[in-house]
Amino acid sequence: MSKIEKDMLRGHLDGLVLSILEKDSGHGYDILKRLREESQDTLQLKEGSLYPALYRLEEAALVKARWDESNAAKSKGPRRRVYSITPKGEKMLGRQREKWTHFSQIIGRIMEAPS
Amino acid sequence: MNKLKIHVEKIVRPIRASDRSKMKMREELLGHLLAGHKEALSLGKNNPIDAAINQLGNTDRLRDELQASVSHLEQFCALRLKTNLEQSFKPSSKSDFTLALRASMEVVFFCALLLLLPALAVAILGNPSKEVSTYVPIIIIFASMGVAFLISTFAYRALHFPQITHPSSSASCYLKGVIETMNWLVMIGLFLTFIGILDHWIYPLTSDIPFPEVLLIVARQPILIFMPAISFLVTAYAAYVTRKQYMAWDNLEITE
Repeated sequence: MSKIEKDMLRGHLDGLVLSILEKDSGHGYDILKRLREESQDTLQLKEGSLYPALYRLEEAALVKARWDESNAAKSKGPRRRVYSITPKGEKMLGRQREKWTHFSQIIGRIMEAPS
Repeated sequence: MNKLKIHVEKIVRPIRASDRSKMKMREELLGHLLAGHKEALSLGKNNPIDAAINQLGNTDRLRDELQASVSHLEQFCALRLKTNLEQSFKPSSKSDFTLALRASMEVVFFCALLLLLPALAVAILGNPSKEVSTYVPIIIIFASMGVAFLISTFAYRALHFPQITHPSSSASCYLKGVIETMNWLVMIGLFLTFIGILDHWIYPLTSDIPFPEVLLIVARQPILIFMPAISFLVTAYAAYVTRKQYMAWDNLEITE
């Protein structure tokens, strides 16, 4: 399957992250792994870009975060920040899904090969 | 791990944000790089550290994106109050006095902006105590704090700070903590001013109040003294602990 690069992802990252968090909460690396798995490794995302997106979503109260100390206690490494979607985030995701469906239907109609 | 920490610090150090936000970014990015490094090792990659760093993306672009995720208010506070304060202690072609004056003027100006709130309250609700103008003690407090700040900043610069604040010196972090505490002193002065204004309003109302409530009036004076003293001690301790926590990052040499 061909790879989807970052420029094509622009504008959709927030929705993708919300969608992942809707299923289950997780920390940054975990979210990224799940994104990769669900896209069957076709999303070519520069990993660092995930964090500004998470901070934006947190600032807008679409996700909330808490520190998980277990990693620090176990391996003396840094703490992990676990993100979960908020009710406001769920509503926003619903709206983004509607927009996406509408958008993809229109583009699909135009891009369809002539019969 | 040190190479990964240096990479994180290269990204995060120039960002205009509060210490708390920057620490959050540092911890998250380092955690991410460590996880990436672990995965690269398990996949048998040749240079797992570089692989993890490359996966994170372009340093400048990531820094810009992280900067954009910081609210304007936080950027303003971090830039005007803190970063500028730290800039004031770096070697410069400007005279020590000019830099100290600029730093103190900025702090006083920022506090004057905050003072607008009680001043508006006085304008709207009126000043019940007609004997003394509420503005006189406020002006005295701010003028004296400005002078104190100016003297302390100037004295700090005069104490050959380049030697003290060299990145490899741990003393710098403690001294920065002290200077930040000075900053908080101004805030506590503001808090005192708030209480002073409230006191002016409450006093005329309390003369006919019966016994149980009168205790509140008796308690008022010690509260006026101890509350700022306790807040000062707590803030000073918090600034010291925070600075100690950041020391490991502050001391990293990030130049190539």
